[in-house]
Amino acid sequence: MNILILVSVLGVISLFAGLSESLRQHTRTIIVAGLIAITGLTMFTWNAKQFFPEMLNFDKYAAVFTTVILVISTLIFVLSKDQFNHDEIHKGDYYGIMLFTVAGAIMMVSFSNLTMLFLGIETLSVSLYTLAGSRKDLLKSSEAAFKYFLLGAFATGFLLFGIAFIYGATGTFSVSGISDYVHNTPQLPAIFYGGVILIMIGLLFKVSAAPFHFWAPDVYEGSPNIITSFMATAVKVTAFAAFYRLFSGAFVDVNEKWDNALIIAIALTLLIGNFTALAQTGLKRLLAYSGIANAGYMLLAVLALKNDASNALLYYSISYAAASLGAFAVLISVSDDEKTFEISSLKGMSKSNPLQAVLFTIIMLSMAGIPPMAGFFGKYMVLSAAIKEGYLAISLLAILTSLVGIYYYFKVIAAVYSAPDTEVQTENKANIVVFICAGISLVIGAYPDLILNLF
Amino acid sequence: MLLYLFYILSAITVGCALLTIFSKNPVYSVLFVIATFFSIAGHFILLNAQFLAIVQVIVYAGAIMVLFLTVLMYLNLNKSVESSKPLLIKIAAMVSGGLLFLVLIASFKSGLSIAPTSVRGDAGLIKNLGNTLFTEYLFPFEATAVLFLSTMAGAITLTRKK
Repeated sequence: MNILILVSVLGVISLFAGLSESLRQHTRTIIVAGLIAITGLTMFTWNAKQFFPEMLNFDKYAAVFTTVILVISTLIFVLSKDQFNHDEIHKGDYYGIMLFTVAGAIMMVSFSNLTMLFLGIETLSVSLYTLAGSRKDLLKSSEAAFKYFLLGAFATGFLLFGIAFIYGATGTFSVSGISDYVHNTPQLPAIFYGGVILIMIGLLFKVSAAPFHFWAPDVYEGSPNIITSFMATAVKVTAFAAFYRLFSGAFVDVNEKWDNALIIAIALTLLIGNFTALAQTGLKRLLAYSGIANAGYMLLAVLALKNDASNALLYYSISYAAASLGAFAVLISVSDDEKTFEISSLKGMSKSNPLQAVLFTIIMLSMAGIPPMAGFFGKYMVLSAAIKEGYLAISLLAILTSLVGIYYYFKVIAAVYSAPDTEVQTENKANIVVFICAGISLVIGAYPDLILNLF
Repeated sequence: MLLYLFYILSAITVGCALLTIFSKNPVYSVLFVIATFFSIAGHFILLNAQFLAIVQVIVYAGAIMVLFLTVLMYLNLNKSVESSKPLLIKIAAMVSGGLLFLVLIASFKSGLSIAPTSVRGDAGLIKNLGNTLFTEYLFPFEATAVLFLSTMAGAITLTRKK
């Protein structure tokens, strides 16, 4: 609650910071400092007084995921140093909209009422549509914004339709109210299940799972790099946290009715994500498809929610976000928004920038799921959660497709270490964000308990 | 009496919605959407929700669709420029749309009650609506401000000249 207000106020400050020349220079610094302070505060409000508990329940789950989202956002603001230079005077506007996105994300991870879930999703999505189109001088950025907007509005329609069905069946928007209704009604009306499936479609779109993934590659490719990294990390983690919170809070008792639909979606996501990624030559598109594939593994945690898989989801989210953000930080350091960056252009990085090459390798290994990096334990945890619940076939498919994944991640690593086409100058520096991300991948891989003891 | 009114209104709603999709001329489509919105406002009145009915007419039929119409006329889009899709895509779209229709029909069949009965007859009156909005739903009401602020900032950002 306090956190939500503070983030929104920070966004408003950022909107108005453009008024004075001296303030404009330091907007980003102010935001980073503010976000660090808010992150610190989140840890103190672990068990604070609740103000509207029937709307936003700031429990431990919400606090943990809020912290994760705030940390990722802080790193993205650190990374965004020269990213909005095409519109120097109005930088503050973009920062402000990004902060409103974070505010929407906080609503999405702490909601206890479907109205708040919907408001959160809308605040997040509407801000993202604008951000995707923030390079007005580039055609592909406008195209990305337009595609995202049309398909996103369509998915929101499904979600809202589902919420209306659920309300029609239960007469309440509150998550605990719905759960009580499910408990106390022996014969649920079919309209309730229709609602569950429609909500699931809306949320599967937001997490870019197949068969609702078609927007993701184009939008990731067209959006400015910094916005893509934001979408692939903070937004994805948020969407999964909301998905898990809703289904474990309200629909856990009817999970034998929706798990088959989810299993099919997971199978498609794993197959399409991993096999299409094999054919990609552009680094950004490869990361987009790897994001789709990773959505499949994270959905396994949602599938296994009957036995509290929130630990596994949290661990996987952090390991995926760290690896993905690190990869995007490398991409941002070597390319600009204007043209497509091919994987083959990475050639010679081990000569020109050995330090970054090593860190990038760690990040890619973590993504591929090689022990002792965090990515391996993340996959291990979601898989063991799913197997414990008896979903053997889909877990086997997940293991097999993750082997496919190793191939294309190693293609990137091979490019980094192959000989350069031209003579290059050696420089030995890496972005601080790449450092932090590689560090997180190693540390939580070595000490998984750091994360697992949070709950 | 009410039941007949409901059937007539529903027929108009569905008919106009279908005509929206089937008319070749975009301007006709918009006009049919306006007609659809008006008949939905009629449904709200049947449910004793006058405020919603007025808002539906003023905001949707009045403001938004007139904006649509103006844009269509500015861009001179009143010719049909429909690109033809491959047969396979048409069939796939028909099958998936039909499946969704089937699922919805099946889920509605059990819980179908046709007469317009609202849970509390006076829930849609302005007084009760305002009461709920400023007590129980105060927080979502305030949180909407963030959404609108972000939308406004976004609209200005996207339309501003360099």
